[in-house]
Amino acid sequence: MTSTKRVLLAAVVAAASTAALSAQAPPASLRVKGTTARPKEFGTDAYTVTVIPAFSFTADRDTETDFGHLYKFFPLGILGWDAGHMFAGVDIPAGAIVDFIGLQGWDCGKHGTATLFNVAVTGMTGGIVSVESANQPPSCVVGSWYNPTALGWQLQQNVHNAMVADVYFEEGGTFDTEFTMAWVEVWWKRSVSPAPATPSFNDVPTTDGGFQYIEALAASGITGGCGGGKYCPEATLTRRQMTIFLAKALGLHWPN
Amino acid sequence: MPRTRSLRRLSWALVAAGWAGVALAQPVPRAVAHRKSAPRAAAQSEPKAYGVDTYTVTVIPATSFTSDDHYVTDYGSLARYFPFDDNHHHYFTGLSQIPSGAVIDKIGLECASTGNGELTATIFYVAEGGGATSGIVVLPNTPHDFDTDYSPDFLGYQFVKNVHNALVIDVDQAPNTEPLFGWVEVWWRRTVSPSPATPTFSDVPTTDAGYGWIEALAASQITGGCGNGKFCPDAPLTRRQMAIFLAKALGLHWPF
Repeated sequence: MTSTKRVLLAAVVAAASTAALSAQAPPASLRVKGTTARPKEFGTDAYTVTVIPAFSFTADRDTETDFGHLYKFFPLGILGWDAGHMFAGVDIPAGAIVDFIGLQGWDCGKHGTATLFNVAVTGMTGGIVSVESANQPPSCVVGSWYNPTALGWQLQQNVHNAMVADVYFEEGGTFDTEFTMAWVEVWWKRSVSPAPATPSFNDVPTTDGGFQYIEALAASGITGGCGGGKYCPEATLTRRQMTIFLAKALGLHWPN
Repeated sequence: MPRTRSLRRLSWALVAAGWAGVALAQPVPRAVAHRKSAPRAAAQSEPKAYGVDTYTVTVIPATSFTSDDHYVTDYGSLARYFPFDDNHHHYFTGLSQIPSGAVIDKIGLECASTGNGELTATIFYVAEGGGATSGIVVLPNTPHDFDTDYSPDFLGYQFVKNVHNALVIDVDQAPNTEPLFGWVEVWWRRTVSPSPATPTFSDVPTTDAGYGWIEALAASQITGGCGNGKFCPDAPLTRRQMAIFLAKALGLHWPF
């Protein structure tokens, strides 16, 4: 990066504020929920935005860092910037649904592309979704790029073991064109596991309105039922039972 | 590629000046002036304590920090330091991600500094789109051999959605010293979100003792009420209903 580019970026950064992030954000109805979400949000409607900074990525050759060392890029070679990849693991809960991926970086007309891959026992499988920065040369912008519609892609244990984010850096010219990465965002939300085929309790058949949820609690070891192979779904919950459910569910309370 | 210290300082100063003009009402803390762009959260993945009075201690080891110059590792590569060299400050920069509304009550800094100078840890809030904000706590350690220094208890800094995006941690090694940096601790606890102005359910007015909590559950899509726009706050809870609440809240149960 030349000092000219640094000054350019300085101006962009100073002026960008929230505009750069909202320019290509997901639809407003979803974006609103997402921006209020933080790591490990609960419920099935709140997005957790897991942000993986550039310096958590490994690369297929030497890299350089810049801007407080939070950005990462491939160094200039003899003929310009060679294409390259950077990789990072994505750690989300089983059953989580990934709806958006975001790529934040500095695009000077050469693009970055973030792709999420499933990882199975046998190795990395096909990319499930890509998002590409899309600035036109010769300008440079600091921005975030997102896929436009919700993906609804689910991480299912025993099918996929994990996800890997792969950021591809497009080859750059000898002129000031390159892509510099800041971070990758993965927007996910929790879901309740599918109901099993066979009921655990003889008073909660598969047709019960709470079947899926009661099975989920039983499978988690939060409840063993009310005795005699029953769950007693219609029984009023006592405050004692409520306490036991919550303490078991959350693993309460180990003081610091 | 020409990357001189003087160039870096010049451009850093430009960015800092830009931030100061755009975003900062307060003077730029010294430790912020070296940072060029705003990071967001790191992908911190570890168990989180539940409840609103239990601290989660997020430990960010030196190995998770990035740095502004070449460093040396020691003690099984857990500790890091910059070699005694050139009359310059050197920085380790790390990121932390905590849930919306979490309150930070204590910061810890582990290092070994006997006879080798001291470290200073500063925690910053970062806002969306590129602005570093003021340091919320500065923690200089005192000379010792392998010990953790703590800020005063009950700092009460709240991580407010749409105001703060992430926490950035700067660890400053003074010129011509070689203290060993071990890790930074962030002690935080959860809170329940503030109540909205308008009730969601017709039978749970703003004056209801459970108003804020019921609204929090509805917003998380853990409950949709009992029909007809009501929540039925005084109705006894059945064990079936309890199961549905818990399974939705926690996203149960995806087996491994």
